[in-house]
Amino acid sequence: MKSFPGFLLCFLFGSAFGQEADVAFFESKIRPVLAENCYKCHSASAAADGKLKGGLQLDTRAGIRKGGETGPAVEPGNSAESLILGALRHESDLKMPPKSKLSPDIAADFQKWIEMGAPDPRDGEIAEIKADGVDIAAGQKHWAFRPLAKLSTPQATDQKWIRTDIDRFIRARQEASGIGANPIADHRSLVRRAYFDLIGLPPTPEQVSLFVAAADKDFDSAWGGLIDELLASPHYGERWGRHWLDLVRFAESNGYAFDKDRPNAWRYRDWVIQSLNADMPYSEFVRKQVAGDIYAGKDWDTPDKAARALELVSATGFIVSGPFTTQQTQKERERSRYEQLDDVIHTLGTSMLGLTVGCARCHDHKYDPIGAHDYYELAAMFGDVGFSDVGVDLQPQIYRAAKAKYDEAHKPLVQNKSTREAELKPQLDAFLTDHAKAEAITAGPWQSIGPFKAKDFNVGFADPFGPEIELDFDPAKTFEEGNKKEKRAWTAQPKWQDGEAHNAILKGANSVFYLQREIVSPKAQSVGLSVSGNDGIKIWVNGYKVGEEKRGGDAKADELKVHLPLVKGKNLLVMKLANGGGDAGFYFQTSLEKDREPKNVTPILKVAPEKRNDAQRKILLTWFQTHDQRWTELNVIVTKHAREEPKPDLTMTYAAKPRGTTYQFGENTYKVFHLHRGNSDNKDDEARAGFLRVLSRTSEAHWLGEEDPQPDSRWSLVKPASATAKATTLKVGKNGGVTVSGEKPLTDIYTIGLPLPVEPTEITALRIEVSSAQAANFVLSQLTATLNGTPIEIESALASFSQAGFAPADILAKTPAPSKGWAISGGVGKTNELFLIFKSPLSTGGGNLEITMVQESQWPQHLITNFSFFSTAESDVRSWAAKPDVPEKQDPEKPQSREALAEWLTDIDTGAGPLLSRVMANRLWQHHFGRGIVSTPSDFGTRGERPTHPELLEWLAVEFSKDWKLKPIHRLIMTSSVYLQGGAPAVGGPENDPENMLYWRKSSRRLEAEAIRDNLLAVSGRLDPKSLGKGTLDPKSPRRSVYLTVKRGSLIELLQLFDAPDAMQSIGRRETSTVAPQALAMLNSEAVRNWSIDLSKRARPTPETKLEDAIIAAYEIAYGRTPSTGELSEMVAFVEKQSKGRTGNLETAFQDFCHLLLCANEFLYID
Amino acid sequence: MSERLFQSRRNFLEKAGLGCGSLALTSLLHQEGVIASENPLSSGVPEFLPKAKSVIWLHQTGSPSQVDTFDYKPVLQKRNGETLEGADPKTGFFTTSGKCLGSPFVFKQHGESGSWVSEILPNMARHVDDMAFIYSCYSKSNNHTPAMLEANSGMIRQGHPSIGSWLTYGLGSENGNLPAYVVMHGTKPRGGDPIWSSGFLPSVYQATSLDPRKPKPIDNLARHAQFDDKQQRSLLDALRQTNQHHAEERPLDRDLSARLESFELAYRMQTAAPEVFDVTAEPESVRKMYGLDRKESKDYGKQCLTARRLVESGVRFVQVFASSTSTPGGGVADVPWDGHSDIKANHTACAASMDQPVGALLDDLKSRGLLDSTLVIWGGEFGRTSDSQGGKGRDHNPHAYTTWMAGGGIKGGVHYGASDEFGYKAVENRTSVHDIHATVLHLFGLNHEKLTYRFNGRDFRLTDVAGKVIQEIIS
Repeated sequence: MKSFPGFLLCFLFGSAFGQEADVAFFESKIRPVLAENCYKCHSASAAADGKLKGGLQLDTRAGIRKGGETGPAVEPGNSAESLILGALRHESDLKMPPKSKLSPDIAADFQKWIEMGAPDPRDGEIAEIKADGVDIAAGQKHWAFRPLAKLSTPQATDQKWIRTDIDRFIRARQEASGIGANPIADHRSLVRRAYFDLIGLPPTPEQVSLFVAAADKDFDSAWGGLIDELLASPHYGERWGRHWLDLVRFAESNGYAFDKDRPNAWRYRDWVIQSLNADMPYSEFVRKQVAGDIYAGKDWDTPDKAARALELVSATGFIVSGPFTTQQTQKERERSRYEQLDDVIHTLGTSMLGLTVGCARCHDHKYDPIGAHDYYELAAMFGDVGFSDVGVDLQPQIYRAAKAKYDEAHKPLVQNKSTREAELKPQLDAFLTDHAKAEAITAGPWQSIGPFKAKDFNVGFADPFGPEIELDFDPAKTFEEGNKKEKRAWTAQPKWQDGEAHNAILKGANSVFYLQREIVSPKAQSVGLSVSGNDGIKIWVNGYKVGEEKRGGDAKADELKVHLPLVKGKNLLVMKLANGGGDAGFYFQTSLEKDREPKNVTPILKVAPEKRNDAQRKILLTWFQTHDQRWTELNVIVTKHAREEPKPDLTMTYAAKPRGTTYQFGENTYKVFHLHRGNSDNKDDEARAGFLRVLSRTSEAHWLGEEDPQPDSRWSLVKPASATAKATTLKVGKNGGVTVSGEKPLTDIYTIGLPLPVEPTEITALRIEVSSAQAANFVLSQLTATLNGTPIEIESALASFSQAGFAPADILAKTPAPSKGWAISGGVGKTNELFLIFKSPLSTGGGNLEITMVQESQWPQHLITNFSFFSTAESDVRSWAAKPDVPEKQDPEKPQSREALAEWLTDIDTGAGPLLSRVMANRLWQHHFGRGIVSTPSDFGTRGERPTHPELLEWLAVEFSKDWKLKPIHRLIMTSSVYLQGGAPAVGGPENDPENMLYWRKSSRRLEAEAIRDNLLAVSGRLDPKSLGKGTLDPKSPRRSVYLTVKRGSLIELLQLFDAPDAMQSIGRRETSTVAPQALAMLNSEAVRNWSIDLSKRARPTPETKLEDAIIAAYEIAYGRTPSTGELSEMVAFVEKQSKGRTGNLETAFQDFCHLLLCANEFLYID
Repeated sequence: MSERLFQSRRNFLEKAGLGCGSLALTSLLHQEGVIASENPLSSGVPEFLPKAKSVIWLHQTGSPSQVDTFDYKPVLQKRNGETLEGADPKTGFFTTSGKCLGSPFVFKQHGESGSWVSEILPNMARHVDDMAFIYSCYSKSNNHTPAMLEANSGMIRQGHPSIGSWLTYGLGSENGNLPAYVVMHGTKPRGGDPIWSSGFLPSVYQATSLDPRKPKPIDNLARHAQFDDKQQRSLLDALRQTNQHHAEERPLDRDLSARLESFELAYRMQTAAPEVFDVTAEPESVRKMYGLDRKESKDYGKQCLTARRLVESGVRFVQVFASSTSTPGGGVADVPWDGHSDIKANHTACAASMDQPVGALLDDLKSRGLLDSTLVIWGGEFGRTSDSQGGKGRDHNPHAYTTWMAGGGIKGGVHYGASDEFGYKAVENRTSVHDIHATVLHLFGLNHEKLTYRFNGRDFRLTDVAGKVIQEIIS
C-alpha cells in the first residue's frame, strides 16, 4: 500500500513564554474553556478515539497554532486573523461550539489573550494523525470488495423444478426454509412478461397465439425460441439501453440557466442502444465509455476508420452527460469545475462500481474504505477532460479530393499575386518618398443607369449588362433593355452625398444598376473606401476590379472596406449594384491615405530607411502592395477563390475531448488538486491520477508504476535568452515567462530569442502560452522567425481562442496558413496558446531561434508565460491528450490516462473487475425481478443492503465475467423456474418468508414510464417502430419514448408523472409512485383519449362489428387475452349504459370502454 | 408487492434508528409504495410542537437591493460617490465601480419597532411590527441560477430536493384533494423547473408548478370534453370494478389498490382545485385590496390572493416567484429585480408590482386569523452591491442581503444580524441559507438534522452538514 507521509508532524518549539501574569490569564480564562467545550472533539484523546474533527487539536500550544484543515486557530497578536474567534462568536462559517454559542465575555477573553500574544505554557506534540484513516486491508474484507470466488452449485432435492443452475441456488434456500415450489405461470402471462421485460412492448394478439400454440406442443423449445427472437430484436437495446441511460443521468441539454441544447448528444443514446443490440461485451462497453476518445486516435483517414472513430468518441457521452452551466461568473468557475468532476466521479462510482465514491469528496468516506485521497486521484483521471461537439468526416476521401482540386486551382492565383509582389518590390522606395506628400482627391457627381432586368439576383450579380457588356462608360451612351423595347441612359445624381446610406433609391427587383463617377487625384495613391451595396456590389477603378461582395439587407457604413488605388490625374470609378427583392441602395465613403495609414506602419516610417530591419521592410512592402491596381485585383481574385475552399463534411457528436470546453479559470483549468473539505479555495498538492486502493488487489505497482503507457514528453520548456521591445519593457521572469509592461503604445515589435536545445532533437513546432493580465485583445500583424539570423519559414500557426477550448492534437488535423491579424481574445487569467509549426524541422545542436512579433493594435499587458518546443518525431497522440503541461521535471510515476482507468475497471484479477461484474449481474437480475439480489443496486458498500443470495450473485458474476456478454445471462435467468413461476403463493411461502426474499412467487410490477407510453402507442396502433436517430421534444411523436429528447428544463410530462428520472444524478432504481396526477392524466388528457379512440377503431373497425366481438378484440390487443364471460357481460353492460347516457352514441361509448381498458391496472401491471 | 411492506418496515426501523424518530413515517412507507389504501401525502407527524402549518414564500427573483429596501445605511448615503473601501469590483456578475452608490430612495422608520423601510414599500411598511428582519443573509453564489438553487435546496447544484419537497416529505399534506406543494410564477424564474425539483426524493413530493395567468393553471384537471360528470363517474365505477377483479386474483400485490384510490382522489381534485384557483369567487373589495385592478400589480396580486386561498385550503407550501411586466433598469422577465443598470427605475417598477399585494396578503391573513399559522417569507437569492455598476445600477452581491419572515411562529419587530455600515457584507450573526432552512423546518416542528433521506448510499439533509435554528426570531 501506498503511504502518505505528509502529515507526520513533529514540532520543535521555541519556548519564549510570556510573563507570569500572562500565563495566569491563560490558566484562568482560556484553558478551562478549551477543556470544557473543545477537547471532546479537538484533542489528542479525541484523535485516539477517532473523534477528532477538522484535524484540529487544541490541547497543545503547537496544535492550536498549527490549526486544522482551515488553517491556524490562533495567530498570536492578531485576533482578526485568528479563526478561533470567528468560530466562538458564531460569525464565520465555522460555529463553535456548534450547539451553543459561548458568552460574549468568553469571546472577549480570547480576543484579549490573542492580542497578548496568545501566551500558552502547554507543551507536547500534536498527536499523530494519519492523513488517511482508511484501513484498506480491513476494508477489502467486505464481501463486495473481495476477489470473485468460484462456487459450486448447491444440492437441491426438488429436481423437477430445477431448470438451470440458478434454480439450484434458489430452491436450496427455499427447501431449507420449508417453502414449496411454485409452478410456472400460464403461457399467455409468460409471453407478455417476456415481451415487456426484453423489449418493453406488448405482443400482438397474433404473437400471443403463435407462442401459446407452440408452447402447448413443446414449451422449452417455444420459450427458448421466443427469448432468442426478442434478444435479437432491435427493440431490445431500446428497452435495456434506457436502464443504462438512467444510470448515466443522460440528457440532451445543459440544465441550469438557459438550458442550452446539446443537439448531437443523441449519438451517445444510439451508441448505447446499438452496443446492447450487438451484445457488446460489458467490459468493452465500459472501457469505451471511459476512454473511447483516446482509443479513437487521430487517424480518421478512411471511411472505416472515421466510422470507428465516431463510434468510439460518441461512447464518451457517458462522461459528458452531466449538467453544465453556461452562465457563469468568474468566481464560480473553479468551483464549478470541481462540481463537474464530482459529477463524473460520482456517476462512474455509482453506475459501474456501485460505490458512493462521491462521499469522499469532503472527507474520507465515513463507511467505505475510500479516502479523500482516492477521490481526488480518481478525479485526476478526468482532469484533462472537457466537453465538446466533436466532428468526424465520415467520407474523408471526398474532402481530400475536393481539397486537392481546390489547391491546384488556388496555387496559380497565389502565384500570380506573388509574381506581382516581386515586381513591386523595387518600387517601394519611390513609393515611400511620394507617400509623404499625400494630397486630397476630388470626386465628381454620380451618374447612374438601370434597371437592367435579370432572371434573379445571382444571375444579375454574375452576368454583365449594358455598359459592362460593351465596356463603354461614356455618359452619353445609351443601352437597349427588355427585348430592345426600352432604352437606358445615364442620369446625373448630384444629390447623392458621400458618407450617407442611400437605401431604396433605385427601384426594381431582380435588376442591375451601374454607377460611375470621376475621381481626380493629384498623385498616384491608394485611398480607403468604405462601401456597401444592396444586395450585391462590384467595384472597378480604371477597369481593374478592386472589390466585390454579396449580401442582403440595407446598405450601411463599413460593410466592405477596400483599397482604391488611384493613378495621378483622372480615374474612372464604376460600381455595379445587383438587386434581388425590394429596391437597391448603396453607401460610399473614401478616406484619405494619411488618415488610414496602418498603425503598424507609422512607427516604421519614423525609422531611418537604412536602419529598418527585414521584418519592417516586409511590413512596408505589404502595405505598398495595396496601392497597386494590378495587385489589388489579383488579391481580390485570391480572396474570392479562397472562399470556395472546401470544408470537410463533419458529423457531430457530443463527447469528451481532451482539453475541450469546460469552465476556464487559467492555468489550473485542466489540473486536479487535493482539496480540503471539497473547497476549491483551499488546495493542497496537485493530485496524481490513481485508482481506488480498495479495489486494487495486487501490488499497486501494477497499476501505478510498472507500465507507464505514456511516451516521453515531446515538450520541453525553454526560457528566453533575450527579449527586446521598442517602447515597452520586456522582462524575463524566473518562470521563463516574459512580462510586457510599462506604457502601452499602439504598435510595437517584440523580438524574443530562444536557445535551442543542444541535444539533437527534431523540433517542428513552437508553443507559446500567453496569459492576459488585462481584458483586451492581442492582435499580431506580423510574425517572423530566424534561426541564427537566417529567416525560417513558418508553415502554419494556430492560436487557442481561449473560450473554445483547444486540443493541441488539432494541429495535426488543421494547418491554416499563418496570417496576420491573429487576435487572441483577452480575459484576465486566461491562458492562450499560440502554436507555430515550422516548414521544415529545425536542425539543432544549439543555436538561437528568434521570434519577432509585430502587434497591430493596442497591446495590453500580457504575460508570455511559457515557451516550449515540440517534435512530431515521437508521435503518440496520447501524450497530447494527457500531458499538455509537462513540468520541467517529469514525474514518471504519473500515468494520467483514462485508458489505464478503463483497463483497471475491467480487470478481473487485480482491478475493479469483480465488483464491476457483481454490480452489473445484480442490475440484470433487478430488472427481471423488480428487486436486485442486492436491493441497493448502486451501493455495494458497507452501508448497502447485503445480498439475499450471496452465493447466487457470486456465481452469476463469475458466469457473467467469463465473456461479459449480457444476452446469455438474460437467457439463463429467463429459462429458470424462478423467473417462469406464477404469482400465486407457494406452500409455506407467506408464513416462512413473508417478504418473499426467497423468490417463491413472481410479483406483478408496474411498467416504467417509457414502457407505459410505448404500450399506449402500441395498442392504439400508432407506434412508429423506427430505430435510432435524432429525437424530438414533441410528446405527441409516435416514436418510442427512448427517442424523446431529454431536455433538462422541459422534461416530458407524462414520463415525469410515472417516475422517469430528471437526469440530474445517477438512478439505479426508480421509484414507483402512485399519485392522483397520474390518474388525472390517464383520465383527462387529450393524448390518452385519442389513444383510446385509436384502440376503439382497431377493435371495432366498422359500426357493424358485433359489440361482443369488438370487446373481445380490444381485450386481446390491450391485455393479450380474451375476457372472461363475466367480464364480457359487465363490459357489454357498461358500453350500453354509456351509450344511453350519450343519446345512443355507441361509438363514443365504445371509446369510453377502451379508455377504461387503458386506465385499468392490468394495462400498467405485468404479472 | 406485498413483500415490500416488510422490507420497508425494516428499512424504516433502520432509518428510525438513525434518528428519524416517528418522523415521516407515513411518507417513508409511501415512498416505498407500500401503504396501499391511504394517500401517500396524508399528514405526517412532526417531531415537536409546530408553530407553523403552512408557508408562503415570496421569492423576489433577480434579488432586491438590501440598501434600497429595508437595510438603511446612512453612511452609504453620506459617502455617495466616494470610494467604497475594501470593495471588490468582481463581487458580482459584471464589474462594479468601487464607488459608493447611495440609495435614491427616502427611508423612514415605521411601527413600534422603528424599522427602516424605503419609500417604495409603503404597504409592507405597515407590517414591520409583524416582521422579523434578518439583515445578515449571505449566499454561496453570485449568479442567479446557482443562488436560486441554493435558496431552494441549500445546494448550488441541480438534483437536490427543494425545501418544499422536504417539507412535504416530512409532513405530508393537510388537504387530500389538493397538491401539498404549489409553485406559482409568471415567466419562469431563471433556472426553471429544477429550482423546485424534488431531486432524489420520490416524485410524490414534487411541486405542482403553475402560471396563474393561464386559463388552465393545472394540467389535466378539467374533465375531458367527451364526458359529463355522470359519464365519468360511471366510467370510474366500472374501472373500480375491473381493478377489483384484477386485484382479487393477486391478493399479495397490494399496491394495486393504491392506484384504485388515486382515481378517486383525482376525481375529487377536479372539483376542489379549480375552486381554489378561481379568484373571481372573491368579493370585488378583496380583489381590489390585492391590486387586481391595477395593471402593474394584477399578476402578483393574483398570485398572492391565490396563495392565501391555497393556504386556507390546507396547502402546505406555496412559493411565489416574482415576475414583472415592466422591468426597466436591467431586469428581465425571469429576473425582474436585477437592477444592473438603474436601481431606481428598476426597483420603483418592481416595488409597484408587489408592494400592495404583499401588504394585502398580510392584512388578509391577519384578519382571517391565518397569520399565526402561516409563515410568510420575503427575500431574494442574494443582495446587491453597495457600490455602483455603471453609475446608477447595482450588481449581484452574495455577501449581504435582507430576508424577512412574518407569522407562523415568528417574533414580530425583531432586527436580527447586521451588515456593515455600507450594507456591503454581513458582519453580525451571519446567516446562511442553511440557517434559514433550519429555522423554517423548526417552525414546522422538524429537526433539520434528523429529517434525512437515503440516496445512493448517503443520508441527505436539506441543510447538508450545516444549519442553525435562529432562535432569536422565534416567538
